[in-house]
Amino acid sequence: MSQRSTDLLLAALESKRVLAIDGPNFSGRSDLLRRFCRLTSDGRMYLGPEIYFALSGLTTSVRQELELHAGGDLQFCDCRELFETLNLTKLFDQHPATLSGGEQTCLCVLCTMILKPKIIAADCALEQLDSHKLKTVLSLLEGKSGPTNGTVITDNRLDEWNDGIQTVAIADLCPDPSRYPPVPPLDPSQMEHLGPVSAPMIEFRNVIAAYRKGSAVLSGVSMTLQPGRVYTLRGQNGAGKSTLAKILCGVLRPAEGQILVDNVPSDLWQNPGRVAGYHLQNPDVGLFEATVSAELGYKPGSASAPAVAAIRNAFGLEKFAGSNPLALPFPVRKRVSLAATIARLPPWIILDEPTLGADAATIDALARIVRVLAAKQHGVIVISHSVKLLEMLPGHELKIEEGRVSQSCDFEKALPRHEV
Amino acid sequence: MSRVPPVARLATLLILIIATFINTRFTLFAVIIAVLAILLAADHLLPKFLTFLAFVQLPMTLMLVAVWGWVAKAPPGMPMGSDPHGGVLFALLISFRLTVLAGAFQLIMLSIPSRLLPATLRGWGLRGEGLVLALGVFAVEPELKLRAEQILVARRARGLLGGSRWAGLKQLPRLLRPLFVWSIRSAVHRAEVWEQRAMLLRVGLLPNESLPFSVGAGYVSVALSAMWLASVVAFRWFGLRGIR
Repeated sequence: MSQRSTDLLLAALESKRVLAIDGPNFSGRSDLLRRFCRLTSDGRMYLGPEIYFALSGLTTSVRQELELHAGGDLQFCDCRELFETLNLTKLFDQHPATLSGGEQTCLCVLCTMILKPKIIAADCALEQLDSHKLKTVLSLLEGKSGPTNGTVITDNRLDEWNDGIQTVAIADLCPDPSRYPPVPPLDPSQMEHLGPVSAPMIEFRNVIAAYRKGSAVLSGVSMTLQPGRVYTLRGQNGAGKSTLAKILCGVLRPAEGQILVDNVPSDLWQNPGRVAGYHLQNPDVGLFEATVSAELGYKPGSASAPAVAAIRNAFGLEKFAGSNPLALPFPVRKRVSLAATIARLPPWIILDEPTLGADAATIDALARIVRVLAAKQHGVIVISHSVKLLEMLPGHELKIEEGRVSQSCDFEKALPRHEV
Repeated sequence: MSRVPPVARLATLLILIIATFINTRFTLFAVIIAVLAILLAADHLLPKFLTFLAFVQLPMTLMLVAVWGWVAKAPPGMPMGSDPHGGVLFALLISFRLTVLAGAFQLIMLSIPSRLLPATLRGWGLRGEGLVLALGVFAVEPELKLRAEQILVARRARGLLGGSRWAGLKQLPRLLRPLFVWSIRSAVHRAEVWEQRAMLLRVGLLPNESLPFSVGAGYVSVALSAMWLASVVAFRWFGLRGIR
């Protein structure tokens, strides 16, 4: 990355409140923004896709984190309306690391804005925000409380929300893309090599979930999930989407209610991950092995080897088979984590924010992979704020609002797209 | 204890440490452990203390008793095998001292409300990098714990281990790789963030005004620990007799 690129970026940003950089994964966007902020002490602040690293790590509550950035008691802070706008007031006593992805993003953006920087560089940092929060954050960044010299954003959902924001192509800023080693694209056709499975029907009856006494995240969820379908799970940040996923895969025991698997009452928490495998949105907590092959559970000659190899190839990971998964770039780590969840071939597969850090081509391929899984009679639940992905998936929708789940189906969308 | 001012807090801890090393009477240890347990319970810290006793102190005590009472069969400075009873008493003395020290540290350190932590640390004279380091030490434990829990959740979610606590314990070695990488990555990214945000400077500015410290609570805390020190000294050097 040359000094020329950062100069070009600075010139492109001039007199604009928000500038978006358009480009695919591995085109040099992140390097450019990191360098842009690293090589100067001129009030430029970087927010990366691993948003939790933008928290100080020195505080044990949201209030303290805000006070640390505000440099004093929040009562005397002129930014009170900002954290009320982003609904952070109710989270003041929580540990920053326990917040949902979207809530952490709001906190990080707000903390950065409190410092009154000249420029904020948000590198895929806003992807965990729901559409409402994204709109609010963008309007704050554009407004008078935003950075004085503007905000630079890279975002893979750019085409979904970009309404009048100036865009510059990465190729115009980095004329030397050949410096980045090519990463193979996803190949959904490989998934056709998988055999069919027999996934059970899952029924929730008045399921209640709470992390602490007296504060139910889910308050009486009743729903029936049929195998061979793709369900999209929607809801605002902090609505309880991940909590529902944890109950489904048996990681969290519900406080009350009953779960039936093929009409038989079942204690999913006795055997987590058997009925439903769950891909967490943060890939770094789900990578444990020394190589990608080991992570996927690939054992040459074993009965599962062809299926695992097909999944590995579908996610474009053949080239990385011997690499340490934790040493790979974020979008590739995300792929490994997704592939590792699917490679165990659980009857139900829950994918939490599978498009984080994924460009348009990857999102398109992911949608095709999900549809193949459903065609193979897996049940699939996708949690995502990517409108692009959700529009490409069959129309069974689960919506969480105020701790309850409503089910709906767009039949026109569901039926024709169900076939791959 | 949450309202005890920083200086009184530190003084209490120092007095308790000194008294613990002077004391050789089990009755006095029993008294101070009981008082510490009551104070820990008042600050909702008793479960943590009991966990420490069960998983750290008890195994260590058994090991010490085995070494001094069964292998050496004598306290230090005596010929091996000459006084098994003395060996056991020595092991118990060490164990009681560690229990009191652990209780005192938990009471003094963990009862600091997170909101008052920066002010308390500053009250102890910590500034700049030292203050950041101390804050980091307090913050890293809950964050590491959360991260470890997330890793276990991820393993369970992939069907790689059962739901029991024993299954979780067996997975401890598996936690190390992602935890280690997370620590390194966190350090690298946060170093950048801290520099961009002048975090060293900001930590010094954390709010200090209108802190709800109570001078009275400070006096009570110091007085209680001083009373225990006085009784320890009295029993040790002024000929007061008590049950050993």
